[in-house]
Amino acid sequence: MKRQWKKVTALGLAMACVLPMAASAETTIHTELNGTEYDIEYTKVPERVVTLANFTTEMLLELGLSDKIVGYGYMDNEVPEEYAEEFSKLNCISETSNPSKEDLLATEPDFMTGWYSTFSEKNFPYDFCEENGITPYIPRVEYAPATIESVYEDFTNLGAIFGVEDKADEIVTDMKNRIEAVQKAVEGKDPVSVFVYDSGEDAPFTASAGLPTNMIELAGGKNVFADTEKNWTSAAWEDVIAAEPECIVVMDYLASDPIDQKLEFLKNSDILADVPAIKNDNIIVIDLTDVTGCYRSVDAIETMAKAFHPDCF
Amino acid sequence: MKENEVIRVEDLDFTIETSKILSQVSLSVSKNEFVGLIGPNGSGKSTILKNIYRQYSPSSGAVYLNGKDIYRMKSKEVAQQMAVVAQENQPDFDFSVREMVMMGRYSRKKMFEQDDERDLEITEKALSMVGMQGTEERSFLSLSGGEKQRIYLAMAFAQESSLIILDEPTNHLDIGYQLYIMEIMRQFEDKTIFTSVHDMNLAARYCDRVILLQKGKIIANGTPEEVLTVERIRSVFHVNTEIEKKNGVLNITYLGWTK
Amino acid sequence: MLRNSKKGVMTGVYAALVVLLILTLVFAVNFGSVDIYYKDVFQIVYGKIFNKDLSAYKSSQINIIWALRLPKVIVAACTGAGLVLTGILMQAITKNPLADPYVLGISSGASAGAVVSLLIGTLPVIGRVPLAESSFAGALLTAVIVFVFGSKNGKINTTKMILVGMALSSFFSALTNIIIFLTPDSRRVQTATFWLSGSFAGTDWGDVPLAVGVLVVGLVLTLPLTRELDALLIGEDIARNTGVNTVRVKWILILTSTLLTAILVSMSGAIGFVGFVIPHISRSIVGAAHKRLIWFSVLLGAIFVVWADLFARIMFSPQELPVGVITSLCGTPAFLWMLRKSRYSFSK
Repeated sequence: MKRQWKKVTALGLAMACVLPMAASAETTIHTELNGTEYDIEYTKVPERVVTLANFTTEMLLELGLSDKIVGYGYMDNEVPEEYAEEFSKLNCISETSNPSKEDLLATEPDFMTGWYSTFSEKNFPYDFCEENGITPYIPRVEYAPATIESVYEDFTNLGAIFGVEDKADEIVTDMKNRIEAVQKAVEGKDPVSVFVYDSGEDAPFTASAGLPTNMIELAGGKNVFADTEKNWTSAAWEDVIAAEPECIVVMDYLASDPIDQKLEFLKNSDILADVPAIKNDNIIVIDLTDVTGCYRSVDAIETMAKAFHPDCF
Repeated sequence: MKENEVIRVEDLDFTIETSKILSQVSLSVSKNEFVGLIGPNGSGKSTILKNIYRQYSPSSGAVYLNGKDIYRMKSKEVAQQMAVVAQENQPDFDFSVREMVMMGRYSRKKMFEQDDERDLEITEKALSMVGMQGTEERSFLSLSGGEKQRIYLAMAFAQESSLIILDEPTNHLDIGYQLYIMEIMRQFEDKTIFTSVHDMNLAARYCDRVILLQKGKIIANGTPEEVLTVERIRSVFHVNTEIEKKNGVLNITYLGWTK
Repeated sequence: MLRNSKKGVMTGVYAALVVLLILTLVFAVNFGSVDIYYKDVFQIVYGKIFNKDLSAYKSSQINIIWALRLPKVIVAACTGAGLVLTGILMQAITKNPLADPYVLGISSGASAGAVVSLLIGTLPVIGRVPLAESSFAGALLTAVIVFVFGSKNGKINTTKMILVGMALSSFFSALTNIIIFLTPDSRRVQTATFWLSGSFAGTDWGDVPLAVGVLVVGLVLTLPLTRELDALLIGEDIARNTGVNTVRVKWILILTSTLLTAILVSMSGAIGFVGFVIPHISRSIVGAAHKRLIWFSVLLGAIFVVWADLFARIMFSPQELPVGVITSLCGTPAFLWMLRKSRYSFSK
C-alpha cells in the first residue's frame, strides 16, 4: 500500500509539473526568412524580450507584456498616452535605428521581434539568433500581401507564444467590431482617391501594396498607387497630379523630416496647387506606426474614414 | 643698347633650389646673325634659351627683345618678333598638318578674325620651305619624327618673326635632318637665328658667331675660328682634336678623350 | 570624317543637329510617366506661350506638361551642353583625354554639400540648409582650395591642380559616405543616392534661367578662345611661343569650367560620362579643332542628355531612375564602338 501511494504521489507530482507546461505556449510557426524556409518552435514563454520595431513594441504593450521587455529600439513615433508611463520605464537600446550586436546581446534576450529587415543578413539573421539562444518572431504583416488579417494573425500568434490568448482574442475582436462599424458607415459610397505621402520633394516616396493600401480600402478609399509590387516606392509627381487624389495622407515619424516641413512643402508647391486634395485642404497626418500593424491601426482607419467620407459620421 | 641688337641678355642668373645653373650670363645677338650656343651637356645651353623664350624666368638679370624688356611685353607682341622651335612633347590629340602650321599665325590674328587667304598662302609657303608641301590634310600624328620636327619649323616660319630660336630640336634625328634644318636656316639671310648646337662641326659650318658655355658661364664668344681652338675644346670637352680649314670652313676631327 | 570638310558642309551639319535637338525636346515633352495625347501637348504649350484659353484641358495635364516636363527638358538640354563644354575645356587644359568636368573634384564637393542638406538637414547656427545652396557651397569650397593650392604666384600649375582635385575628391567622397552611413532612415538615404547619381526630378521653371544663363556665359567666354584652346591642346610651351597668354587663358578657362560644373552639379547632381565621352565622339567626327568641336559637341550633348532623361523617366515608371545611370549605361557602348570603328587615336 505504501509503495502504491508513493507511485501515485510521484505520478501526481510528475503530472503537476507537466500540466502547467501543457497549458503554456507550444506553437510552431512556419516562416520564410532571407530565402530560406524555417519552422520556428516556440516551446516556452519568453521571459526576456527585445522588440526592434515601433509596432511590435506597441503590440506587446497592448497585450500587457511590458514587464517582459528587456530592450526596445527603432521607434518611429510617440507611444499612445495610455502606455506612456509603462513605456518610460523600459530600456531603450537604440533610438531610431537598429542597435549594435553588442548592445543587443548585453540585454541577454531569449526572444526578439521587429521588422523583416531586423532579421536581414545585414542585421540579426536567423543563424545569429540561433547561436545566441534568441527565438525570432517575424510578424506576418511584414509579408506581402499584408492586410488587416495579418495584424490579427500577429496578435493571435503572440497570444499563443506568450500564453495570453484571451487578451489577444479580446483585442482582435475589438478591432474587428470597430472596423465593421466603419465599413457599415461608408457602405455604398464610392471610394475616395488617396495619395500616401511619406517624404521626398523632387520625387515623392509613397506606400504602394500592403497594409496601408488595405487600410485605406477599409476606410472607404483607394490608394492611387495601389498597383505596383513593392510596399513602399518612389514615384513621379506626374502620376500624382494625373491621378487627382481627393485626399492626401501624410506619414509622420521621428526619423523623417518634421511634419510641418512636409505640410508646408505640399501646400506651397506650384506644381501641386491644382491637386484636389491640396486645393480643398484635405490633408491628414498619420503616424507611421499606425499603418505598420498594431491596435492603433484601427484608430487610423477610423480617422481616415472620417476624412474620406465626413458626411457618413 | 646697340640699335640692331635683337636679343640682349644682361647678367642672367638662374637658380633651381640651391643649384646655380646660370651665373652672370651676358650676351647679345644682332640682326641677321646666325649664332650658335655650344657646350657640354649640363652647361646650360637650353637653360639660357628657355630663360629667353620665357619658359623659365630668371632669378636675376634681364632679357631684352629688340630693346624692350621681354617681361614687360604682351604675349602676342613677343611672338610677332620671336619664334621658337624646341623639342616637343607628343600631343595626345590629332590635328591636321595645316591646323598645326596655322597655329603659328596666332600672333598675327585678332580675336575673332577668321583664317584668310594670306594665312593659307603663308602656310603653304612654310610647308614648302621645309620640304613638306602638299601634306596639309595629313594627320600630324601619322608623321615620322623628322617630319614632325619639320612641321614645328614650318609653324615657326608661319609666325613671320624675324628672330628664330632653336632649342636642340634635332638631337633625336639623324645627321641628314640635322644638316637639312641648318641649311634651311642658313637660307634665311633676312632672319636672325639663335640656336643651340651639339656638334662642333655644324657650329663651325653654319654659325657666324659661336658662344661657348661651361658650367653655366660663358667661356668664349666670337667667330668659330676664335672660339673653337684645340686648347679650349680639350679643356671644356675633354677631347683631343685636330682642326684645319677646308674650303673656308673649319673642320674639326676628333682624336680621342683626354682628362 | 568631317575633319577637313568645307564650311558649307559644317553649317549643314549644325543645322541638322539643331533640328534634331528641337525634335528631341518636342518628343521628350510628349512622353513621360503619364500618357498625354500629342495634340493636347502642342495645344497646351502653344496656349501657354501665347496666353490662350486652356479651360478645355484638365489642369492636371497642363501642370504636367508646362510645370513639370517643359522646364525639365530645357534644363536637361542646357546641362548636357554645359557638361560637354566643361569636359572639352578640362581636356584641353590638362591635355589629357581622360579628363572630365569632375577632374578638379568640384562634383565631390557639391555632392558632400548636397548630402549635408539632404541627410543632416539642419546645422547649428545656420539652421535649415537648402539643397542647391548647400551643394553650391561645397563646390565653391572645393574650387577655392584647388585654386589656392594649385597655383603659384598667380600661375596655374595644371598637374598640381589635378592632384589637389583628386585628393579633395577622395576626401569629400569619404565624407559623403560617412554621412550616408550614419543616417538611420533608409528612405532618406535613397533620396540622397538618387540625387548623387544625377537627376532632373526636382526641376522647375525656377531652375531654367540659371541653367540657360550659365550655359550662355560659358559659351560667351569660351568661343572667342578657340584658337587658344587648340594651342593649349598642342602644348603649353608651343602655345606660349606662338603668342598665347597662357596664364590668362588658363585662368579664364578654369574659372569658366568651374562655374559651369558647380552650378550644374548643384542643380541636378553629378551626371557622369557625358562630359567625358561626348567630346571624344565628336572629335572622331569633326576633328580636334575647337571651333568646330565646341558647336558640334554642345549640340550633341544636349540631345544625348534629353534622351537619357526621357528613358530615365519612362523605363520603370512610375519610378524614375537617376539620369546618371542611363548616361553611363548608354555612353559606354557608344564610346567603345567609336574606339573600334574610327581611326581616332589618342597618341601613337
